[in-house]
Amino acid sequence: MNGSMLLAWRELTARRRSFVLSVAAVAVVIALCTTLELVSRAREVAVASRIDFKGPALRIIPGGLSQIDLERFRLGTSYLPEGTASFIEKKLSRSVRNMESRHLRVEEVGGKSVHVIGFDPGDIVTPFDALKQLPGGSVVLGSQLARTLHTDAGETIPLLGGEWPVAAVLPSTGTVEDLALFLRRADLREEGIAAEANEIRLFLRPGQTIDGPLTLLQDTRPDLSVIPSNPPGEVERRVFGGLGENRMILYMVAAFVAALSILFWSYLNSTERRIEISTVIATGGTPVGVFSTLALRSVITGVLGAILGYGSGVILVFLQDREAASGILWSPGLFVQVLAIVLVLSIAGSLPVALRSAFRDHVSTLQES
Amino acid sequence: MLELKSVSKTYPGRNGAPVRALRDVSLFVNRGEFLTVIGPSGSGKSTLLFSAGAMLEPSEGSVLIDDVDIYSLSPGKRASLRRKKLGFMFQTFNLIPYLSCVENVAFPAILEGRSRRESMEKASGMLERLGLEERLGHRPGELSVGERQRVALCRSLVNDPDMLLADEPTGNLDNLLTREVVDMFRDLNNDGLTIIVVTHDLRFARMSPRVVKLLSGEVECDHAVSGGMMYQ
Repeated sequence: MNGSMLLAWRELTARRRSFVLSVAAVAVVIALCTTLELVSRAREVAVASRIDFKGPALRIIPGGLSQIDLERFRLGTSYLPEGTASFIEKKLSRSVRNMESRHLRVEEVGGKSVHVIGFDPGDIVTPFDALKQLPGGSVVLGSQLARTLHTDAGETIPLLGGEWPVAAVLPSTGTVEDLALFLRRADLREEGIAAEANEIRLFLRPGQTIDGPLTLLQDTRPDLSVIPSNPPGEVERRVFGGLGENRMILYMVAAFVAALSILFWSYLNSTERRIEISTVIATGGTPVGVFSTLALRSVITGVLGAILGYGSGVILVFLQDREAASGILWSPGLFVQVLAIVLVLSIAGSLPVALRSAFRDHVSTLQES
Repeated sequence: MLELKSVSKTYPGRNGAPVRALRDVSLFVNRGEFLTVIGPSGSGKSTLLFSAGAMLEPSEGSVLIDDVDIYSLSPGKRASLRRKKLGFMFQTFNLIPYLSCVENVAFPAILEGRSRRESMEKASGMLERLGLEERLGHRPGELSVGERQRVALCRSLVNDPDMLLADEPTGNLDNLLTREVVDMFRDLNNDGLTIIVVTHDLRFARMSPRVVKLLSGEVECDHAVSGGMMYQ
């Protein structure tokens, strides 16, 4: 490998112009793909956050209960089996972006039946800070409920045998949550312990549709009722899925062209250098060493191009849309993927030519020289 | 040291008819011997050299170096044998154009697994002994023909081989340089190196203690002459 590295590096630096041009060509392709991917991801994340606020893609409640039971909060004493959340995390981690556990029930408040939602501030998906930062021992009211109870923020309401301060009244959302009362699930105690979850809400990743998770849950967990919410976001998610597939096709075409270029470049290089290759074999080199030399030339060019291209792509994204890109600019996963693809292409592109060069008739070549 | 036992080599011809480059050649070369192989073009000289050099497997017969049939070895072991025991010199020198002189010489030592530093030090020392101390960092394209010849010689000797195989080493040289190469080879042989040279150049034959003449792939004559000078 030491000898191969010496040959590869010396040849690249001796032909500086073609080396720089090759690195630049790789960098341009990688920069374009990186920019496209990062911008797409940034947009998807931004849109996905807004879609989530419209509601979950799937709602999971105890088996035997129906959508009507859910809408009326009539879940009785049925709870989700223990381990449901961890099962979903394990089986659906590639589809699910966020997961929220709730306890739903109906309680009497000021002589009226009120839909009560117990939630965990850490995992709630909402645009409202009043819910994310709700202190223990207080409640938040939906806009319609606050009007019905004639109660405003800072006042108290009677609930569960005590008086609860109202931390905030939510703006109108146009959903059933306008009629709901929110409090921490830990405060919604039953027999001295926090109320168990009887609803899990799933929010899917961009490009994921409800079909896969729905089928998996229905097939493997008959002890659960899975209710597709079919919110407007499903259409967007399907569009994202289609765009993602188109991007993948574009990347595959780019990778194919890159592999062909490496193959062609290696072929020209090995044809031009055949006397040197045969001399290396005569001085004790091996076919593996010849392959290493050719592959190393491609790998060095490819890796330098990938680093430059990825860096350029990140800078382009930053200049283009600083706000959208701020969350995903440093994406080590994508960088590692880019490097891995470049490495595989460099080695695969060099392999046929290297094999041909290593096993050609070196004696004839040396005699011709 | 080297033994060729009934070696024949047949190539597929252009019109389908096989071309026999070597026919039943048997040859024994002792350690420290200086053998010159002469013959007209197409007589099989280079085929014999590359067969002896673990580069070209004979169609029939066997080639033994230190009693080991080298073509029964794996390709990897043959490569190792070329690195350790054999040194090649070519008519056109075949120096790698983008390596410096010292790197060209050090390269087989690096392939052999020596550290780069050790290899470069040894290569520098060899080049300095041949008067190329000013040329260590130069590339082959910046050297004269005679300097390239010396670099190629150093490269073939860097791993301290037992045997030097030279294919027309004076083919591109004028009289003065040819004399220089002949002297260098004689000195190396006097130091114990086994040398096999294939050449058209009768000047080698004149100073060689043993001359084999090939004709149409067969040994026409094999003369061991005390003190050389047979072909004057």
